[in-house]
Amino acid sequence: MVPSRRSIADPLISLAMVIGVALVAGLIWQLVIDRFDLPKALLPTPRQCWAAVMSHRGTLLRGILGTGLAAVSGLVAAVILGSCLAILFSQSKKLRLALFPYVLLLQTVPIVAIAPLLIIWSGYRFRTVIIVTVIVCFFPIVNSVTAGLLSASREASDLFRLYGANRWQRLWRLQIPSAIPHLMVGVRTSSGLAVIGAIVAEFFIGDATSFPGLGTLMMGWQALIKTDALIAAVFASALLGLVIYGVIQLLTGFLLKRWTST
Amino acid sequence: MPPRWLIATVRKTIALQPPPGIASTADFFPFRLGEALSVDIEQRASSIDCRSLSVAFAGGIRAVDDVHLTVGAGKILSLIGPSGCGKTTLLRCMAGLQDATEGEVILDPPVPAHHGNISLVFQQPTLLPWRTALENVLLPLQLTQCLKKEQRARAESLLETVGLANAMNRFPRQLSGGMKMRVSIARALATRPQVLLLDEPFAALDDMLRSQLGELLLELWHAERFTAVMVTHNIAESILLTHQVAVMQHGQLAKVLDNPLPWPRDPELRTTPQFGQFYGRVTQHLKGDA
Repeated sequence: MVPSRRSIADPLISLAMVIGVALVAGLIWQLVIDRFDLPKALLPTPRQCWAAVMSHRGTLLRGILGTGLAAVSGLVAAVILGSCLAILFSQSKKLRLALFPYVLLLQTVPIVAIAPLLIIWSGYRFRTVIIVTVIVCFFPIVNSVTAGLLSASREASDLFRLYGANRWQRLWRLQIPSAIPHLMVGVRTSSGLAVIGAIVAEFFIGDATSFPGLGTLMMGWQALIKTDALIAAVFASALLGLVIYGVIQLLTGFLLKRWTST
Repeated sequence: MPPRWLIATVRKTIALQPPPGIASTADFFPFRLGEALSVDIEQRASSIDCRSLSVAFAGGIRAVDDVHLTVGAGKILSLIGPSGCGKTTLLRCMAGLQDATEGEVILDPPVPAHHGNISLVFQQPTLLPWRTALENVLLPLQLTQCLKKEQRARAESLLETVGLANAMNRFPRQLSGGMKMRVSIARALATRPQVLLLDEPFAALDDMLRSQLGELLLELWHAERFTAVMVTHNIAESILLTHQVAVMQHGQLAKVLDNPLPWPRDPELRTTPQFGQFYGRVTQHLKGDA
């Protein structure tokens, strides 16, 4: 099938608009510095930030890879653990009523309050970053997958009862397929949180020599008042979040082909 | 009564798959022959006997109240009545999806419930959106653990019979409302049920489609000879497609009327005085004037 002219033009127009907004924001940024004569330590110019990106590109790349690996590992672990717990919740209302408040607790207690405890228990290690990421991502996954598993209509449930489907058949042929679109919504929501969780955990680890993540780099550059490098790291973390989100969008499109293709 | 050897031969013939080039067992095994040997064919279907059936819900609401109803083997009965009179609850009892508070539903010959012997066509097609039309038809066979190569052929044959030979690999969202309902009917027949229950299956469709699907239902009944109970709000439909019309009021069976219209049924029958008279009788019972 030949793609229509519009289907090619739309993403290009969208990209051009995004770049346009970035250019306007950069211009305003530069004008503010010129107007108020701000020192570099307080707010460097876009050009100085770009120079910092180029001079620290190797370090930043390692930071992106380190944080990215932690975020993706934590997200995958949260998907596996969260989906398993959601399946248990879907099979037992009592279990759901007993345990769901504790899952909610993970969402409501600030991660900055838990992170120091986890470092005491797990140490200044990569696995601690993953544990923090799992905790941050866990609730959206459990919540959306549980909702998906319980979303089958009464008629569909009756259909399975009519043919004497056992619990396993019902789970495998009705509930899990019903939950896949919900799972992908949960994964999309968690993808942004995963990067935040990983960086927050790295803040507490603090030592870039033991773990070269974006969070540890930020802590180091903050101590040295390297504002330009700090801003470069902020943009790197935003870029990392966007890349993970984009990959998940592509994966969603592939996985949900059966649900969405027309 | 035909001799035993003939019955055995016919049984074997029915079990055979149609040869290449023949769309379905209905073509392979002509309807007229099926009618001639209807004694044997009807033995596949079960009669339904509801004895003192009552269903009460929380709050003391009696959705079905002491219903005595018998549907003969291989016959079609329509349940008609105002909304909330207990038609669907009665149908769900027959399907084994609703426990009766009192009384029982007896099938003769008895068949184990939940093994595909009783099928239900819902008001909505209730197709699984991630499965193609063929996969949806195969679902009952997968659930009842009897999916074999020849049954896949039966599913394909059923889809051909309902006019969806070219849409087997389409997903439900790629089908129109009428096509979805055809898939739903094919799915209900996949397990060769003795009893087919239909809960307002054509309610969401326009008149033209409704009429087409009614004719399709009769064609399938001729070929398969199941016992059918159909809930409907449409008096004309309840008359054209059935042997008996059961009128329900306030959870109780007000009247069971034997349908005097001749077989085979034809849409032209609507214009006959006989149809008009029976229509009037059903309406009277629905209004409670009889």
